[in-house]
Amino acid sequence: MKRSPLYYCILAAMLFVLFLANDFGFVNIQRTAIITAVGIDAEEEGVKVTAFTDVPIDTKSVNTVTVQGKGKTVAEAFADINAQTGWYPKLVFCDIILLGEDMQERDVFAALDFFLRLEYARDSSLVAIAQGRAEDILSKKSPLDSVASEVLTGVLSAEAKRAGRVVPVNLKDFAIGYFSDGKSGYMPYVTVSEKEGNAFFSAGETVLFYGGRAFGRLTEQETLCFSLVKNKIRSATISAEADGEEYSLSYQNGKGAVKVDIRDNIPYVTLCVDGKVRIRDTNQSTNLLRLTSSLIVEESVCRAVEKEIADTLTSIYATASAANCDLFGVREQLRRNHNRYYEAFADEILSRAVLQTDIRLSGEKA
Amino acid sequence: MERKERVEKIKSSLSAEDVFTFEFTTASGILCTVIYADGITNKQFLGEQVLKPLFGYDGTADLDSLLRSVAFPEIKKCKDEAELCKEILFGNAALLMEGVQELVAVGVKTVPVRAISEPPTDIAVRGPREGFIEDIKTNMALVRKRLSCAELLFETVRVGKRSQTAIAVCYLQGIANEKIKDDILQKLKEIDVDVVPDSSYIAKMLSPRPLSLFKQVGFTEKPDIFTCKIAEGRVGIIVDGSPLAVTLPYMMIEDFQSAEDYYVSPYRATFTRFIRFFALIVGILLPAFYVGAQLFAIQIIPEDLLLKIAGSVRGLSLSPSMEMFATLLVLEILNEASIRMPKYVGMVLSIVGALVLGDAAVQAGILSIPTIIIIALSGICLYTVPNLTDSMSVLRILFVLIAGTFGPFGIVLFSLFVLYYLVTQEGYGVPLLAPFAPLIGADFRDSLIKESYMRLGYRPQVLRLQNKRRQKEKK
Amino acid sequence: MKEYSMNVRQVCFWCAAMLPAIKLITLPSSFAYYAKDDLILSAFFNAVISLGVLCLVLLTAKRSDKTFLELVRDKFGKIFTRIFAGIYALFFFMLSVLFVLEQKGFTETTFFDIPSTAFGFAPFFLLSFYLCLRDFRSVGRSADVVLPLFAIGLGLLLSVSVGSGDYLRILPFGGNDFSETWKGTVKALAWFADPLWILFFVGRFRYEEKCARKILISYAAGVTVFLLFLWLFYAVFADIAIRQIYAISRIGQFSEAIQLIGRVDFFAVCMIAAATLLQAILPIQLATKCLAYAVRLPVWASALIVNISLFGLIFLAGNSFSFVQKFICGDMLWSILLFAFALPACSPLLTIGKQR
Repeated sequence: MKRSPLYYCILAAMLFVLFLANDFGFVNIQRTAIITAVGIDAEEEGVKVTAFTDVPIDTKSVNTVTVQGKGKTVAEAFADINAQTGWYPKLVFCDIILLGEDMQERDVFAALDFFLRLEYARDSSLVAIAQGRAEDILSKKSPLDSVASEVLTGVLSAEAKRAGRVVPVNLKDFAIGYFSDGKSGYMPYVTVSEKEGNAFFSAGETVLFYGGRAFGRLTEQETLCFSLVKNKIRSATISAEADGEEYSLSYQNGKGAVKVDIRDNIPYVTLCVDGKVRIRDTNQSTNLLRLTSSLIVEESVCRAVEKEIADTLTSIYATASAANCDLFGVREQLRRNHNRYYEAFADEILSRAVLQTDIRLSGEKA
Repeated sequence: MERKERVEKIKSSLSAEDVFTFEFTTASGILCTVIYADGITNKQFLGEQVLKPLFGYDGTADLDSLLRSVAFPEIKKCKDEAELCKEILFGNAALLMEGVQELVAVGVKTVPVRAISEPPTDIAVRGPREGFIEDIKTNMALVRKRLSCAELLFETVRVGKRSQTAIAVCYLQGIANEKIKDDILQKLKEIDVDVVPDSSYIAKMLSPRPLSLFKQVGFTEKPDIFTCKIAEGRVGIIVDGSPLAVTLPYMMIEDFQSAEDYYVSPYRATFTRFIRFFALIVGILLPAFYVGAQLFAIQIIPEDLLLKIAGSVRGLSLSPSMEMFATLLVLEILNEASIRMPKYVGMVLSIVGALVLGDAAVQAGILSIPTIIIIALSGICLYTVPNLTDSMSVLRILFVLIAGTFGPFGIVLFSLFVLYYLVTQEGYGVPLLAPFAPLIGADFRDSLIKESYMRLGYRPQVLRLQNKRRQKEKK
Repeated sequence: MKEYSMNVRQVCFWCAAMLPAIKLITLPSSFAYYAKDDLILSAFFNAVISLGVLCLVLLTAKRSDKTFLELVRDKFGKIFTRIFAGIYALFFFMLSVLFVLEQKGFTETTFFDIPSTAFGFAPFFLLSFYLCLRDFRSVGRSADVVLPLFAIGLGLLLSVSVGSGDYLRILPFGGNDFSETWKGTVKALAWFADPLWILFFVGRFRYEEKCARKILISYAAGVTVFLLFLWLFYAVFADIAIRQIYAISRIGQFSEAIQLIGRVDFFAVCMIAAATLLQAILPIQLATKCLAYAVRLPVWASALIVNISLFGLIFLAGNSFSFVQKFICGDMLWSILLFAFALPACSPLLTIGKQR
């Protein structure tokens, strides 16, 4: 076929016509709701979705609008929002999905699967359970930021995770836990305290799930200990008491692990924590020499903290096991490292396993 | 044929009023006629160096004796009157003598030329500032000055039925690919046009695909660049009346190289070449991606930036694609006007275009600030490779049309189309995208990466030269 | 002297970039569906099979510098070869349907924020038509340009995703039910029809010394890159990997850097998409050439027929990728085994008695 610029000209002309007349899937940026946070609360029939939508006023200011929709499913609720506002809800920028406390009585995944199904949403959104209703929490005014979701994103940030204060989890990781053999998971529990009309958020507690339903909650101390095993901690503050003195220790660059071993046909589960500590503060006045050598932590202090962590972890493990919740991923470890025992032990490993703890905290040697 | 008859024949061929005839008799009584074209013949030179000695000649009517009396070396014997007529029109003088059968043309051509100055294109902060001018002889001299070797050859052909423009094909014998040189000469001889006002005409005719959007030949106004390309084994073409010399074969990478790259550190040169390449890509694709992202995939824009964009386009009457397309058109119009206008008006135009139009359009809510920023950035980026600006700005508009129609997917597809089109382009057996497609490892040393000149021991392999060795490499 | 339209380096680049690229779209989730955490093992079996057949194809290349169809013609005559080319044209067309539908789904979810209309994908066929008009010289040269694009794109994507995975999730190695793992291998055969593509490159590049070694190393490198990607993919998505149908467009979103600076991974995806598109178009190009050979059509007419038919079929098929995948990789598996593996493996027989 003889090529000629005429073909290219015809193509260019066709392109220009299409350019002027087509709509092969336009997104109208002016009619798109950029949703940054979603709250989902249980209703008698179905759910109520509260969407926090950024509406830009001009290049310098953004107005955050709260829009609510109801439906039997989350998808229906979003369709309701769409119908009310004419905005096309865009979930790809949604940082946080906050579930109301009522939701934990149902299988929370009935609500979350909408986000996992949606190709145009991201799986990295953080998920959390709210104290009370999610819509109430998200409507609080914080002195840190006028938009509650922004503050919450900070409370559940990777920095907070590295400090061990919270164990944030995103949709993907929660889904992996939910669909794994353990069917277990956890979510931070977002509480709010109000002082002089200002709301302060906390997510130090952690809700435990089995089969998508909540069955228990870890306290702040338990969350910290769980975090030491589960996450890589860059710098966490641990309280301890030894020889009648109160210590605040800084736990740095620590790592945790869960080990499963089979010896004599008996499964052993070991929760490991290994990290360096240094004295951050004490409740007693000190001399200059002791202040200077804060890297040195006395053995007795370390052992006391280790014991406390071990006791807390044992308690957490017992609580979770009682509900068949594989919080520490014991089944996964069994499958990875002792697969031939998996069939035999998988169902009952949480109750049959002998729990051990291996907590190693060390300061600089004197 | 008698002198008188010949004079009549020539005069009947050249009836123009600027062709003059002058008759005189030598001291020995030989009747002579000089015919010349006014304005392009150096009359003073003709009188002093040719006519004055002939006036005093007292020998016989023998051509050799007559010419020995003339203190001038540029004498050409013509085979017939037609050839002599051509010489007259080129500015040389025809000399006809009674009793002498040969037709003689004396090289006393003179043309008004401007002084050698720094060219407006190919500007380099460091390096020579000489540029080619419109006179072929001067340009050839500028090349010869830099390549004083016996291997440098010029082969001149005349092209243009009416203009008979002199075109010099310049190459290094023993280095340049003979086949490429012969092909070029052959093509030049086959050209059938009326006039050749500029080398661009010749360039189009020598292009393997003259209708292609992309450049097919290399252009330069600088003798130093021209000389280097000749020394690399390319064939150069200097066209009388044009300050733009043409080099062949051409590879796109040449336009990413600047004369200055060879005068600065290789690290700096490599860095600037990557900058040019990156800027070109950004210049072409940024407006398209902006449109595509806004219309089809806002997820690719960071959230904070998206909010700013959404804020600035709020209430705009034009769609993102139309806004970008219209602004690009305005940019092209401003560009065209600023080139054509006198310099002092150009300044006013910049103010009107940039400040008044841009600012007023934003204030009036016709255009958004991000669009203005993107257009400005894209415009600046394209000018980092000035030789490709023309074709790339057309490509940029096409990309915007495609992005506005099919979004980022269209951009990916059209990029592939352009890439595929470019990899199939060849001129004189040399691929346009060499040394990248096909990949020629040896030529990488002076591609986007610039090695030290001391390590460029070999000429580009892709040119298939007779002598590939340039110099001894220093490790 | 025979003029070759490709060179060994370009074939190597094709093996290292285009062949792994096409496998990055839906294949990871397909492997995860059948083989779960043994997806690497499943893909490894595919790689071994393909490498084995590729060795035989390269033996053909070593023994003769004729193209596959020329070899068939020498052995069986013109008429048979034309019928044979016609059958291969149908086979390539069938594979094209699978790959183009895969591209369509990938495109619609990656490059569009909301479901696009059927015509949103239409320009693909314009590009495909244009590429079908080109010869193998262009195929080779495009490999030269696209390899760096693919390498940069994949490098960028891996670097942003590498921190989001738990790399021990693939343990225990070989723990999954072997029949399921093998099923994953069988279902992926269409994407591992690599020896077939190389077979159609045979005779178009000069067989040089160590040529086979270079091609095999490049192919192994490409496959290794794919296996590493599978590892990363399962490390990131674990039990929900089967849900991540278009792996490359979703794997980068968990990086903290991406959340700060925006979707730079999108540009990486665009670069990888360039390689996947070229590989998806290759069967269309080959179908065009085989059809032109079989029915003695000019290439442009053949390209027009193939592309218009394909466009119609894709338009009708809509988003039935799963159905088409099930049909081609299940019901039509015999054809893949025969045309993409058995016949290329037998190709050295065509060169018996021939020595360069």
